[in-house]
Amino acid sequence: MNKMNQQQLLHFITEVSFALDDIALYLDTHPKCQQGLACYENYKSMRTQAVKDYTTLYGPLNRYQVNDCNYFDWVNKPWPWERECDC
Amino acid sequence: MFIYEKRLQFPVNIKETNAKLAQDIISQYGGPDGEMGASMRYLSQRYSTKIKNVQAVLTDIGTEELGHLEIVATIVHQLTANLSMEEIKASGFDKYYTDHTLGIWPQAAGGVPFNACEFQVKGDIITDLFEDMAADAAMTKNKNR
Repeated sequence: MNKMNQQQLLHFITEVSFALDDIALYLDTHPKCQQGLACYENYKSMRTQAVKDYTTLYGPLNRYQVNDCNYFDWVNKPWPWERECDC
Repeated sequence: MFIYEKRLQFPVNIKETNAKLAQDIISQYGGPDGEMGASMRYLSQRYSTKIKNVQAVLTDIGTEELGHLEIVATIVHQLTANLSMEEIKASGFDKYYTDHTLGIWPQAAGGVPFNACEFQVKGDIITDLFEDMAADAAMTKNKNR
């Protein structure tokens, strides 16, 4: 996990989050499905660890994760609409 | 409550600008079958039901559509980044540029502004779900074109 650079780690978070988004829609209408719940839990644990690594190394993904006491690093780049070459 | 997460649901990194394409893509932002209508549709309809599964699914889909809205805006933003005046005029983007320059404004491809009349909230969940299916079919048709 920690061998990934910032872009790779964000890409990984995006992938597991996408899976969670889709499984959640299924679970909304099938909340007792054990297979679905196990699948959700699997991706959720991967995401939790990846987000923890990302925010420690590169800064917050959401505003509640700001942890720099001297600077509000929420304002830092990258913003997701920016092209990588513009950063 | 909505919490912003600093990432796109699907990454966008466009290398070459294309103002002509941007004028078509903008319809998916604020056009009749666009993501703005989709997100407002589901998020507004969810108050009309007591069925907990439907409340959950409308909340989650409506939220995801807001994510799609941001993806589409990003596509248009990157397709029109750093355009020269020559490119703007040659591509026909000058009409949009007159009012919005390179900002992102919700309109249909033909320039019609976003309008809440693109979707309906009837206060009856069965009626609304039928409207949702029609909207979803319209959007799928656009994407396949």
